[in-house]
Amino acid sequence: MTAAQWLPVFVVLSSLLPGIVIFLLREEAYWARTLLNLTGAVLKLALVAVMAVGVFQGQTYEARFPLFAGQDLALHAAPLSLLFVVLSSVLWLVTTLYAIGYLESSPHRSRFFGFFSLCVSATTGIAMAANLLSFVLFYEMLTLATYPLVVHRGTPEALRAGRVYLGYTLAGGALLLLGAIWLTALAGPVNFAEAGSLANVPPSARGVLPVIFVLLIAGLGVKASLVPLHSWLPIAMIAPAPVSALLHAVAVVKAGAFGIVRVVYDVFGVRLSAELGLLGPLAVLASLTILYGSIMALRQTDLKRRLAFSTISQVSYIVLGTSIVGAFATTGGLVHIVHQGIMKITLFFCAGNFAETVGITDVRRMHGLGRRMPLTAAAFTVAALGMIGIPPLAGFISKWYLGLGALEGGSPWAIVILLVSTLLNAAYFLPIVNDMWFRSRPEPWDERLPRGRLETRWLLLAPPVVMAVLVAAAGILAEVPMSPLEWSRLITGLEYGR
Amino acid sequence: MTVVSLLPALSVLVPLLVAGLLIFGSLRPIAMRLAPWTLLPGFAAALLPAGGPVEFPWVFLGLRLNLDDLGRTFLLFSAPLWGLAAAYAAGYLREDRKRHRFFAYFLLAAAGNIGLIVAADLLGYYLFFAVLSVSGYGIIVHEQTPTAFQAGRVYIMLVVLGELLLFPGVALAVYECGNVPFGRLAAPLADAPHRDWIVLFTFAGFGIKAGAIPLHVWLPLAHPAAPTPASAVLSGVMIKAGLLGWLRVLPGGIVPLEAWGQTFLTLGLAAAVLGVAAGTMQSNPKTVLAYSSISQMGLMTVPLGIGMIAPAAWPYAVTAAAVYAFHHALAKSALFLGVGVARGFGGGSRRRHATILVALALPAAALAGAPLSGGAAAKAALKGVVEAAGDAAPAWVSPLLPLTAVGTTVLMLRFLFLARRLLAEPAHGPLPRSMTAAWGIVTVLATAAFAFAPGRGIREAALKAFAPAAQWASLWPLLAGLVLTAALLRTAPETLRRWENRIPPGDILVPVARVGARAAARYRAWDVAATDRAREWAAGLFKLARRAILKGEKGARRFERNVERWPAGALGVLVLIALLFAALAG
Repeated sequence: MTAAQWLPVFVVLSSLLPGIVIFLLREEAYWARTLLNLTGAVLKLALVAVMAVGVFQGQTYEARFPLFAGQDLALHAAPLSLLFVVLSSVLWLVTTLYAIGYLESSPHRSRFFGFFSLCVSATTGIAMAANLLSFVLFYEMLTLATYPLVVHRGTPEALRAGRVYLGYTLAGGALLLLGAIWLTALAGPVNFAEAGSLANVPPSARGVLPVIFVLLIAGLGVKASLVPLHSWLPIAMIAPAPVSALLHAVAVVKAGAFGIVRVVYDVFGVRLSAELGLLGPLAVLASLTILYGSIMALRQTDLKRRLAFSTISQVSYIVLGTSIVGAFATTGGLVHIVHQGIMKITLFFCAGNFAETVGITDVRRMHGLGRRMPLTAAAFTVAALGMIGIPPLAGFISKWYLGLGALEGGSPWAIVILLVSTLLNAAYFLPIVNDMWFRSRPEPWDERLPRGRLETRWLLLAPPVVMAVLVAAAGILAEVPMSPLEWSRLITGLEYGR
Repeated sequence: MTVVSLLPALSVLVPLLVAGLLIFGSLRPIAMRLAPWTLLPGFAAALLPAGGPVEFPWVFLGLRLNLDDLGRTFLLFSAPLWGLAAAYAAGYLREDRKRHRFFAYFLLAAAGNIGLIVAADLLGYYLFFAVLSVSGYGIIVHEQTPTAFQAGRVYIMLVVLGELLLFPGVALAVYECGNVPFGRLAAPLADAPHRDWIVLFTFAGFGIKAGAIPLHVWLPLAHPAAPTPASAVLSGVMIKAGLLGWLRVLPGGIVPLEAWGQTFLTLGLAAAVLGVAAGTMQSNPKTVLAYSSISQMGLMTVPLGIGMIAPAAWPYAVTAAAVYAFHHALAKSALFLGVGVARGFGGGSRRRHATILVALALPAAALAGAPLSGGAAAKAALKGVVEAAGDAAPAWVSPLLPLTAVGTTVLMLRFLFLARRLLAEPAHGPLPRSMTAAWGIVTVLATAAFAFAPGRGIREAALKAFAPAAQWASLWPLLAGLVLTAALLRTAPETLRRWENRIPPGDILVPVARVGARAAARYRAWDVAATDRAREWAAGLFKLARRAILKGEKGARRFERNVERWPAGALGVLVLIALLFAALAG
């Protein structure tokens, strides 16, 4: 193995090692902790960038460690892995900055950042896992590393949320494990490979493949919050804002959706999945989730709960794209992994800012925020319009490709789902945007932070603004080389064997 | 790439950049002063020879800009009208503390409007159309009154509806024909497997902006609610974005689209009649003008209908619609801006009142197609379409057209009457010069631009209409309208008074909204009941699940306590993970 082969390992270690050291730091060691956090985050980003350029030029990276009985722990940097790993390392850096600003002088910061780093290590591991076994290991690690973040506040409510979270995700993990073991028993070590890796499954064993598929998808669907496995997500939004942001944008929910993409494309392969008739039901499930999440979001009055239900809906765009056969739909689903991430993290950052700065958490009390916090409100507006899918923002690019995919895949009903979702998104985001900018607030603000020159702490302000710029850029510059769209098309080409 | 070929791009970018400057508090005064001038590149592009198509492959999903003949006619009125409205707004909003916000949305909308004119393909058109629609909300609700919010709500609902219609329309068209430049779209579209769906979606989607019946309901609410300079561009210019959308997409001139042509024709004439009928009953001069716009847009739909029935007439139809749009944009903007001026000069001297009324009567007469006016030229172009269609055009169309001019005359007299009422009320404070100047320029353009405008078909139409033989045809509907109005005022003044305000602004919206509210209430009641039932079910299931996991929960609680006793908990998890890996490695 050359040094380059070790790059995926280094990417995981770049957050794992700082995380372990942070656990040992004293609570007051603010600068040491911040330095470790940021060094790790920047280093990871640099390593990922090197890898991305390498993969773009045709280089391959793979590290393998034999575990037992012919099973390997393997990490690689396929284009699909990179899509997710780039997303998670960018968002980790931004969220770390945000969390430093958010948790200023609150207790248990070393515990928080320690688990935060573990959580990201697990996510990058999930992204780069080269076989099903490694994927399952990191997937379980993510479950465990996220739990302390969910219960971070230690209130009875948070503990209850943590219990629900563990109950759901451990059960999901068990199903996934069962599916993975069964499949391994059937086909030997399951490596992820473009266009699928089940070619050598004997035809006699084909009968059980749908059962395994259901087990795997059900296990992954818990984290991807597919209806009816979604209930933990709105409860878990009790976690601090940076955790919710990371949870909803990249770590947990996205890990589930990414897993579904992996199973459909790189384990079963899109052709086999379609032949076995597995994609139709999955598309129906995704559509139900899209509609259900949006309808529920409409009924919420708490901003973070509304955003949580919106995540349930939006993440299923990815599943919908995955379950429609055709290059356009695949591209739309893949690009939404990135687009949903940057849009939703912006919204959660903004929600955190509103709550921390002026104590606004209720969607009916957002009047005049455009005047009090113009940059945060602007970031929120950009991300919300993106969610609705207004061109030229990121969300539109996803919607456009999914729409073309629905036509190409001969399922025009999927366009109807997209349109109803657009309508519902407009119904729960536009009133907020209107209130923020065009309704004024007569009473004074309940200021929670000392007033400075900026509308809030700069560490809270910069992350949503930067992410909102990315939301706009991902749409306006969608065709730039190495853009999320370009990258998704590259992956699509590989999955369809071109 | 020459500078001229970059002009279309600049004409979009410059307003966007200046809108961006408005973010920074210290730059706002300069940015607002620059606002009217940001439309200069667009105007220059309309006047200079075309530079050819330009591509920006990295932007959006590959952006192509091009200024063709049709676009030039639209740009020729859009750019100067947005610019003059911005100059007018500087005076109109001089005491408004939030005027920078108005300018931000105004410039965004202007960029969208210019952008859709120079867009060379459907996807680009759709992009700028969305920019225009969304930022239009900001200028409509700017005054933050209950009326403005009500208008804004109806507007944004229809914008979303329009988006829901356009998305599948555009996606189908691009999927089946490719995102080809407009010139090469009609042929594949006419053969597209889902042609009728595409026509339906784009007809309705663009129809919302064009005020086509029954999607016109937002116009009479939004156009009066917006600040006057915004009303002028909304009713004069923005509304044409829908028309241009039709002209760009509809696959006319290849095969007859009989049913669609009949639909366009019928809805267009219905709008022409309804606009006059509902408009004359209004008591707000701006609402009267909004209804007049519905009526006039209906007339612009008529040539499209004929062109779809008779492919040979399609090129004439496109030209006629463009010429009509040019004329109507100038006249309607002049009238809207004039309302603000009349309000500002209220209570002044009689001579000044007379001057203003005459200046308002000029574009009003032009709308009614008075001899030697732009309206006469537009109507001549319209007649040309009927002639080109020959026997294919329904026989009832050509006698009906002059009758609509009679209706317009009555409607415009109603407007002038209401404007005189405005002049009777005392104004507050002197009128800024930028307002009168901008209004004056637009009025002059509306009256005289047809003599020298370079756009497609404009001069030909003017030559035809200004021939001595054609004068009586333009004059008699005007006279008939005058006589009719005088007779009505003389014989039945009481009835007229009773009919005032009989139809509320937004007409059919009122019963529709009532039905909608009732449906919403019923849904909510059902929702509450259904939620209760679902909750009972869930509670039952939960109880079962709870019993099953009770033991596991005890363990979880112990785990929590350990995690709380940090760092023991943290290290515990780490050790666990390490053990897991180690066990597997072993």
